[in-house]
Amino acid sequence: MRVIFKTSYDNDINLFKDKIHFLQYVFLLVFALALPFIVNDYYLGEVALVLIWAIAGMGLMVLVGHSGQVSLGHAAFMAIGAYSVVILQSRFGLPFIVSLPLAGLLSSFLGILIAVPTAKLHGIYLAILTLAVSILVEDIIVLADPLTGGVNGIFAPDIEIFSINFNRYGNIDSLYWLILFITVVFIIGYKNILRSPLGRAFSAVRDSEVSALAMGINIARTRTLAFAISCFITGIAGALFGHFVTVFNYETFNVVLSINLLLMIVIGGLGSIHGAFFGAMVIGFLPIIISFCRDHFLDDIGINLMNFPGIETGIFSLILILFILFEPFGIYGRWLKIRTYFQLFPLYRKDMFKRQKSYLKTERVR
Amino acid sequence: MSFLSLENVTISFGGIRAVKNVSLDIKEGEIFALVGPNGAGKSTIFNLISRLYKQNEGNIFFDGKSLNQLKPFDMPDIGIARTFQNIELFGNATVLQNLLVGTNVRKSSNFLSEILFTRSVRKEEVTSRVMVEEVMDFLDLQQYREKYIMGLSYGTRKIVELGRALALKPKVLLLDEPASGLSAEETEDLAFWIEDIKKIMGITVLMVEHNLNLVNKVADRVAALVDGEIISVGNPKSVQSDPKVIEAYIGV
Ligand SMILES: Nc1ncnc2c1ncn2[C@@H]1O[C@H](COP(=O)(O)OP(=O)(O)OP(=O)(O)O)[C@@H](O)[C@H]1O
Ligand SMILES: [Mg+2]
Repeated sequence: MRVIFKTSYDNDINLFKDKIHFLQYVFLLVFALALPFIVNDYYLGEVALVLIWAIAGMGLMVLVGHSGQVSLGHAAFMAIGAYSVVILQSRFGLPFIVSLPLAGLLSSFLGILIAVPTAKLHGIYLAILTLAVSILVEDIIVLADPLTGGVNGIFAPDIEIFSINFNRYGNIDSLYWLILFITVVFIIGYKNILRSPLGRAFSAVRDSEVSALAMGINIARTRTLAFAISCFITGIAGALFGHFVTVFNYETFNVVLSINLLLMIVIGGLGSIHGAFFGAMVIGFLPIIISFCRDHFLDDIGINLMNFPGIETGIFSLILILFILFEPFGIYGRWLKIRTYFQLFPLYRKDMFKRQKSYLKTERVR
Repeated sequence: MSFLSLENVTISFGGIRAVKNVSLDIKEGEIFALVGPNGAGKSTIFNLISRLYKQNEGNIFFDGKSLNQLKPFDMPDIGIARTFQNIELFGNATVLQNLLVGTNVRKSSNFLSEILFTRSVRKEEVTSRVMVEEVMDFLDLQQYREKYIMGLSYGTRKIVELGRALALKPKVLLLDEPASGLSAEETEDLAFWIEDIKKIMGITVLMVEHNLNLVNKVADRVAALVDGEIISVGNPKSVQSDPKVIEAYIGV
């Protein structure tokens, strides 16, 4: 068991608890940076995609996990990001390095447009509304044919930054490093939100609106800000996704994607950055694992998964059901338990994480 | 000088007039208790002062200014903090984080500097932390610093909620049944704390409380509220021996 000695309040504010904690992440980063030299291009591409999912997941996590607003339409914000970044480059001739943040801002702007009139909507109503918005965005993309390529879709040009070329097929290594860099930037930004007044305002609004008010928090503004930040991050993820797949159309960003994003962060663990990454790994690596199983032993025992279209979504949903039943805190919650078990071994108590029954809002007598 | 005052305040919910023509005058630096049977309208008066409800008639003044046009989230700015009868803490956060929310109102940073976590944001965070630690020292909450609210006992949560209100550094503190659900021991501590809040911190306290022992111990003045009307105001002894109050408690 490791005991951390705190000598100043900065210990609690710093990103890393201590040297060991810091070194763990340095090691992880070095490993991530060296990955192109370790795995082949195919797997590197898959990892890059997982990072993109993780960014999108962080975007949704800000909204759902931290400010407590459920969105069933986040694919729409990925779409805005993807289309904007391409159109800004090919139509307006802007360089990628300008188009990318602009794409995020445009997506953020749409988020604000939705958040302002809906500041009073909760839970299921907000979820339905965002769902409707995402269907609407799909339609608009089709209708805006001259700009978006309509049903045929649109080609993303190669990313160029200071005449360095980033192409998935030409040099996946540099594209991967670019995505990794953006991922790290967002992780730091997200961490900063969590350790600052903004993050506290988010969780205050999430946990109890009435006492957030009593603590001087302007709820409408806080929720709108959460939407703006969430949609910015998701828009950037969409832009990267667009460049990664190189060609996409309205169907790329359909409702299933929105639902997958939401499932992803729930499985990963709501309310933590780790959760977004664990969820992204599940969503990204599950198809690989399934096809691996298919190729290596399911065929041998006479099961042909080709006969089960949509098997991935099915397995995904099954995982979700199991998590909601047995581990509502997601993979991250489970990870914390396992880690605590080893840290405290042999002192771990089985009900250590059992929480005292807390009153649900609806159970309270007012 | 009147500090916090209600003038002929009335509010109705549908057909029920929950608060009828109530006038109250709370002086700076006193501990004022509202007592009365269930459903008398005590919490409603708190919600009116903290602007969660808007009165149908009458005015509410604090520190010489009318509260009529203010929003609930303006309250900490002008110096009014409160607790809730049914504990409204941020359940998925630690005790420390809950108390730190109270320091948000004094921050000068904007969201961009917070995302970048600039030097000045860090400096403010340390200042906030120092202040919150003082509150935790005062209420003996250090042992729960990193604990999540969901795992705390009811009594501890009540104290945390008191601490969170104190972290706002208010001029007046509204406590809605602070002793309900507390053990005898915890209630005794609470009595000392409330007195210190008045004496050491110089905060005016308005509290709703059913526990008459506590009221007798700490309150300077008491108002008895029955069916939305104030039937008696004065020092704790005189209110409790007021025939109208006795009748209301026994008769109803
Ligand atoms: N938002 C509301 N909508 C409708 N009726 C309300 C509302 N708030 C309060 N009331 C009514 O106003 C009356 C007074 O309620 P209030 O909560 O102020 O009582 P109280 O004195 O705090 O009682 P208790 O000791 O049980 O807390 C009750 O009849 C209650 O039903
Ligand atoms: Mg009440």
